Amino acid sequence: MAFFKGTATDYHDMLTILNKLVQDDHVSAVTVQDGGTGYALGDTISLAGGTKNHEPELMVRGATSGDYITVAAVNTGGTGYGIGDSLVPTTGTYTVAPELEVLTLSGSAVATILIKNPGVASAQPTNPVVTTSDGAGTGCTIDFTFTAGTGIITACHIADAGVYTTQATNPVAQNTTSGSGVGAEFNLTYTDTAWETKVNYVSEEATAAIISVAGTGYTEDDKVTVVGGSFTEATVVNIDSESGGVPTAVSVYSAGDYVTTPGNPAATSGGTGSGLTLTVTWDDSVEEWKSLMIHNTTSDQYIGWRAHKDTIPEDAYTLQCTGFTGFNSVSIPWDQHPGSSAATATKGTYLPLSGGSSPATINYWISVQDERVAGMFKVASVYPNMYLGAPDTFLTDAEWGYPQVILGCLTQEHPYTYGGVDFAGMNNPGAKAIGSSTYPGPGWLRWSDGNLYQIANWEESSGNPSYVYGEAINISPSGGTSYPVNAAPNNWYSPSNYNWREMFKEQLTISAGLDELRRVNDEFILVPCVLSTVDGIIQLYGNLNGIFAINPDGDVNAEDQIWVNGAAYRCFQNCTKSNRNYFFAMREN
Amino acid sequence: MAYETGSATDHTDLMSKLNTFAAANGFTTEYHNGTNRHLSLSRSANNIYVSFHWDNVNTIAMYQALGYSGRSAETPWLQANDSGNGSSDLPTNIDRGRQVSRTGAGPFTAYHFFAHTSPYVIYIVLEFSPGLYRHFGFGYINKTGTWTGGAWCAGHLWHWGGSSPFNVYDTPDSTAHTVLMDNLLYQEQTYYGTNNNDAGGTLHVEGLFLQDSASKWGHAVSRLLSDSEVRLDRAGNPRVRIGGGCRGGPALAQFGRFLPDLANGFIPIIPMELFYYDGRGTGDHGWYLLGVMPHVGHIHLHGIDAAQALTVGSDTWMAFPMVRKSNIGGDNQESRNAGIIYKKVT
Repeated sequence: MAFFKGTATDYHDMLTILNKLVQDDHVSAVTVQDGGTGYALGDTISLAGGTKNHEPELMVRGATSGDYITVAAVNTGGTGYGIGDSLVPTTGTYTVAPELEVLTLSGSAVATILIKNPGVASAQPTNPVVTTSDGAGTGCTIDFTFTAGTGIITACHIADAGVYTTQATNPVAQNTTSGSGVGAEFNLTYTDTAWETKVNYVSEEATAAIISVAGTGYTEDDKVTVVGGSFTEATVVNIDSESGGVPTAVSVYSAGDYVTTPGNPAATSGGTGSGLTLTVTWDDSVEEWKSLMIHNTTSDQYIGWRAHKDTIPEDAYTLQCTGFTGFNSVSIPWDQHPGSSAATATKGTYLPLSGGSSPATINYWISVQDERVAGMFKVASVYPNMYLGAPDTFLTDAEWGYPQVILGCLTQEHPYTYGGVDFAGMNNPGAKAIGSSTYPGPGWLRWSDGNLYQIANWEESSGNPSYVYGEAINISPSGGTSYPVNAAPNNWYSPSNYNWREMFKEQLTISAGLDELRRVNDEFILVPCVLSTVDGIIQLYGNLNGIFAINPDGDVNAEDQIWVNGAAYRCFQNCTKSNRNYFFAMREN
Repeated sequence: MAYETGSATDHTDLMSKLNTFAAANGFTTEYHNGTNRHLSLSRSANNIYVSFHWDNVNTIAMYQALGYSGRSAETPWLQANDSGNGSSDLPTNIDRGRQVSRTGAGPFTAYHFFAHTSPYVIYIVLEFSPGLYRHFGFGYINKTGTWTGGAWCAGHLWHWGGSSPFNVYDTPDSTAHTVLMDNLLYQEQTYYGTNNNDAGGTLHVEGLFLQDSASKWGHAVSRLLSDSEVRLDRAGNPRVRIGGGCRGGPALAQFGRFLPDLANGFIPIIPMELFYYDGRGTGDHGWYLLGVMPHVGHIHLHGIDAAQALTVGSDTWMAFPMVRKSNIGGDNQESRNAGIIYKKVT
């Protein structure tokens, strides 16, 4: 799991960043090579070296104080050593073991020593210090000089996994820090999530066309199609006037949607004539379409986003979240790729990322695995979110070959300022009306039969969320799991057993009498977000991977980091809703 | 970590074997007297102190405390900070309070002992007659978060109320029964008599939200009971409600509906969560997840025989009926397909 955070200048930039984040090498593990000095818990550290598409960040999670080695001088060189052999002190007591190795030799005797890790001694050894080695050498003794230090790093958390196009060579030094520590070095382990880009382009369209070579035989109002380029929809030009079959004026009839535009003059086809070529003016599409489809070669998931500006009912800059079962070619319309969830009946999986006269800056927190991409965003004070890819299924690969969840937070294109009740995704999604072709979403689950089924916990009723049961796939705890029991002799438990839904539910205002899941002490309780439904038969599909419902218990706000069983989680409210039943946490690295 | 099975001639023989098994698996025998039918076991490192008294007729009474006070094991409810559950009217009314109920005098068909060390826990499955079972145990729970306590002790009361409508022998979700810390027990004296008063499992808990400062115990009973019906420990201190357990808790509501499919490797083992329910407060009540019962789970017995060993990953588990796998009705004590499954370590 790789976790990233940062800021995008706008929704197009967000897609550009997203494409970078899912690829190349991420920091997946870190060990402290040299704890340096002067650090405080919570200090963040950026790293030197390598070539990066996105800066990684470490956070200090453990620090200690004590005496560390500043000089390791050879007292007796011994015999039989090789360069790079380790030298391990046999006396002294260390809370952090020093790491020393042979730097240079005099014959086979140690001449100088490299201090790879100065260690931390709780009891200094008496010089000269006898050593052992992982090589064949014996007899080297060392005279140490120690210096007292504080804030020596002992443990780090990967606060941002970073993206390396060229890995940094270990040990990696600190670049900058939010604190005042110096000298820390780290050994990094990298993992490459296996995402590859299949579609990535900003749509171009024709804004004007003039006649280059007029050709002959055309009729007024002929529609001719521009030839060439790579497109999902070709530009069509209207013959506005002609004289004796020779076009004298043309205009763009249909702007088209181009991945790459043809060169000018562009040939045409169609109409009653032949030979017409055009000089076409191309520009980014007025609706600002930008498309990104990625594929994971390990999980075989195909997911994507289409950014565009909508003006009805109001200006909105949104991402349409889409799932696929395959990829055809770049020049295939978005909804015609294999298994595209962007077909009209199921396309309502939108992620609003601002509104108004121009797109806004976006803060993001993205979690990437081979199975899925989950994202939380902040625009102004609103937190839209998305989940695309496989859930953590309760079935085997043979039983559910291509599990996929495509979950946005709106069924229609609205800006993030949208005040509708139905603006909610992730752990407690809802729709204006369930089963309505007008409000298809905000999530879809691709089941083992290959079909897409709507995900929503509730629909709007008289301005309030109303729980839906049996009509859509629910996400618990808010979305229930209070099922009827089997027929005898299998009905061995009471259906009235307390279930998670009774502590969360879908309501906007927490009503009196609603029990609450609370924490005993300082550690929060993470409740898995389970996808399930009951519609004739009960299906229990799986969990949203790395996403949990939590009760913030008055102590946690959106963006806060919490720690549970030694792992970090980032907490968020759900779009505009901050009640405990709309609060959730996403696991970091 | 161990497993042992065999048969026992009577309660005394069973408890003697349990004593030997517990001593071999990290527990200390504080007192054992087969003639006087008393056994006290402890593991002081985890604050686990349990005592047993049996009648060799029908009932094993169980007690939990926070210390051992010497030979008062013959009056086991007088141990230090006794939890309050288990009869103090011996021998006449041994079948009141926490107990392993209606086992008969023996010989018993089979016993199964399960012991684990992480955390320390012992479960006993007694097949007291062919196909008829009782489950009881003691130890420490798998805790969530940081709080004071964690030692537990639970018997198995399967209530028989006489003739209809009081007979619940054939009703596995009856609130007159209590099984492994579950929170269904509703101590309704006018309906069920006094036998199920103080019959639930107990869990050592201290310092929880709204918990009385002198209170040291949680009682696994229905959250619908009034404060007074949760009753007091032996020293007269109030106890708090413990929710979840074998037949309660959200996991059962979520997964209990699903039938195992052994042919396809689908064996849903449902965790037994334990909650503190702050029913004493005003307004919205809170459920505080304290942890789960270790190395045990619910299991639906669809397609599973009694005492069948099941392989789940690299582990072996053994499944048993809660009472009896049947659905005859009437005066038959039975639990349909309700099962309890234990991790077996050999």
